[in-house]
Amino acid sequence: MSIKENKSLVKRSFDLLMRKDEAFFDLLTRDYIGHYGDRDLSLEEEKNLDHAFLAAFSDAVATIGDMVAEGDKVAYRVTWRATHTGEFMGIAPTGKKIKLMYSAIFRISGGKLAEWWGVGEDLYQQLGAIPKQ
Amino acid sequence: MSTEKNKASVRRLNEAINKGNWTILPELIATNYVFHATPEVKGPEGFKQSFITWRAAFPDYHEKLDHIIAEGDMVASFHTLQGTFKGKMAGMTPTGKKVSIPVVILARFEGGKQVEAWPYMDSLTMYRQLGIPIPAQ
Repeated sequence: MSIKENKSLVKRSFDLLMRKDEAFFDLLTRDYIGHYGDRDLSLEEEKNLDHAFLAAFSDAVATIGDMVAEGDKVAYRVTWRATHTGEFMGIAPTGKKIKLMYSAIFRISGGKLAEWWGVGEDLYQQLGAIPKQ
Repeated sequence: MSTEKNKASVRRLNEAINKGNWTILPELIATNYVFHATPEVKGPEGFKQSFITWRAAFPDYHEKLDHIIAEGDMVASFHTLQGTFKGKMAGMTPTGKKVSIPVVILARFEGGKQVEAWPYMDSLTMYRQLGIPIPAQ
């Protein structure tokens, strides 16, 4: 796949994710791994996390910034803006608006997203640091 | 091709940081360079000073370069930042604990030198690993 196609694939994945379209998960390979700092998530674990996130942050919108693509990889930065309207990782909804910024890289294989490394401030701790009202 | 030169420059900068070799910084970092951290770091001299501060706190400070990709005037590099907290940092007493966290740097190049860079890191996880309190926000 070309660099242009790889970037389109990443953009499409975000569009599907924001629409809460299950077709997003069809873009991931069966042996997909998501590297979240000190944790590695399998496809099933990624599904659980993404479902939980989208359920807890019902109005989540992602704005993708610079994308850098070369070979089989696409790096990008993204800002998610959302409202904490549902329980997430044991934290009751706070109604707070969050801004989640991170940079990540996808490895693409056979036209699908095979591996992901993401780096940014830990969301769970961000929520924990928000004073309860 | 300039993307190859830019990647080579990022690799050289990574080596310089790991060795504490500050003399080559002006070859790699433009005078109008801005590193978008809080606070901002400016120019090769600012860059050098910020790393001298880091190495005072983490004498074995090391950045392992894991992935590097380049397109146009941008380079994205993924590193693992490692070190042992042995020296005072921002008035905090060292805990002797180790940090190992991923860091992403997006860098923009002009005329073969870095002019701008944006870091991404999980500083909250770093504070937790080091056993120091999270600063008030």
